[in-house]
Amino acid sequence: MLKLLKYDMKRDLFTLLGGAAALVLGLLAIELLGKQVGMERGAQAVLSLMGYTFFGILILIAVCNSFRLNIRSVGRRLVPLGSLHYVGSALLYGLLLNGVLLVIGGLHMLYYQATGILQQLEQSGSFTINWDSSIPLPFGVSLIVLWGSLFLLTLLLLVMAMMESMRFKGRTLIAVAAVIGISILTSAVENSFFGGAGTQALTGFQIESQSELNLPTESLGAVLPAFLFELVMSALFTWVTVKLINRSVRVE
Amino acid sequence: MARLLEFESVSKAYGKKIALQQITMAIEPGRIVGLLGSNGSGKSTLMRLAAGLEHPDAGKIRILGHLPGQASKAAVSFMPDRPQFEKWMTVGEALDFQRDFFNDFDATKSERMLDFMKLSRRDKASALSKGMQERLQLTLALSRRASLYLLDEPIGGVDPVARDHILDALVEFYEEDSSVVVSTHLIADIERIFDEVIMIREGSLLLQREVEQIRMESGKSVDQLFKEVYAEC
Repeated sequence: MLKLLKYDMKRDLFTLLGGAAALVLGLLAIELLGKQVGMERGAQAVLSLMGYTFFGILILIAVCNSFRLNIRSVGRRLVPLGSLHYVGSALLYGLLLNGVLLVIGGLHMLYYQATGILQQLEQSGSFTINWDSSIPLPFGVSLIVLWGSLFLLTLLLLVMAMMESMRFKGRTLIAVAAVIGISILTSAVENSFFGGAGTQALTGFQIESQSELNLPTESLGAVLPAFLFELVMSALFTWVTVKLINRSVRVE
Repeated sequence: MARLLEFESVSKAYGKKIALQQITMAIEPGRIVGLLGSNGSGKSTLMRLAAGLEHPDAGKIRILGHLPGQASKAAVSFMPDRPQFEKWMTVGEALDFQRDFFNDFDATKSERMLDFMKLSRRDKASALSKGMQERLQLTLALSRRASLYLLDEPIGGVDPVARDHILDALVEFYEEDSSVVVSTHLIADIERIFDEVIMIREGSLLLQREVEQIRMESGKSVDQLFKEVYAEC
């Protein structure tokens, strides 16, 4: 699994370095140019958060693309590894890239804290943190983001494997419909059984207006059943993905 | 001792197109076997099934007694008819990939092969000419000490000089206690190295016979017999 990950990273090295550089430059531009044009602190923070979200989406796309290449590639499929390894390495890849994103975000927060910007945002009411969990805030946020992305990735990998198992036109549309359909179904089940206490990434973040964001929380006890449900669902997604890779995905 | 490769009533179809039907055959260790057939006869499908890249619709395949899977992939070295290395790789990285995933990779042999094939580790694999890519593919496949080598059209699309070089490399570097299955329709160039041949047509097995037996019984070369058999199509 780690060897597959090693070659994924070697293959995507320049894209990853370029992406990281683009994110850092973008954040610097928001900070420096924002100051020059007199942008409000709250607006800058929201813009930065949108930047992180955008890169989070790019990470999902990169991981899905890497997984798709791997399950179709004759060179990769000839190695004596079970299909679970392809899923595992893609999930690890996603975790690693999201981890890097979180580290950059963490450093950003440290900068906000050290320069007093965070206090300014809290005082102005543009940024509200209600964290009443026993888990330290940075750890809790990381956990929510990483688990959310992992859960979403298991769903996306399943859809990728489905897409690569189809031999007819319009499979991309079917894949998009499958993502939407399964997401709606999962959310509906979570809403019905757990009162909407999902643990998906960023459910705690709400952008109220162009320049306001809140970070409310729910207690661990409230999200635990939903977490267990998502855990079972992601195990199910992974199982079906492995079956599809074994039986249906066409190797190029 | 388990047979190296065994097909038992194996069938495979892609939609309505039947690629293989009811193939039953076996390959013993220490043989160089020609898998012969015209384009679209099912050679590549047979190879991909044996390599564990596809599943048969019916029948059983065994490699050293194992069903196709992790254990069989560790014992089989497959050279597909299209590049198995990734576009971003250099020749060295493609070999490193093989080394990292296959315990039977022989680094000394791979260096000897690079030298023989006149390949440099620094060359970008996707920038090589078709002939040189074929050489790299063969180097990747034969650098392993596998029990079974499956070479899908190793000389297809290369000039006669490169063909000879590739065949010389094959004879020089394959493991003598292993078996090699070479699929081709360019028989005249390659029949000198075969111990036995398997002919398939439209997905069905026509014959599996020792080359010497063919020559003795019919007085013809494999190439002549092939032309006769496939001229009837």
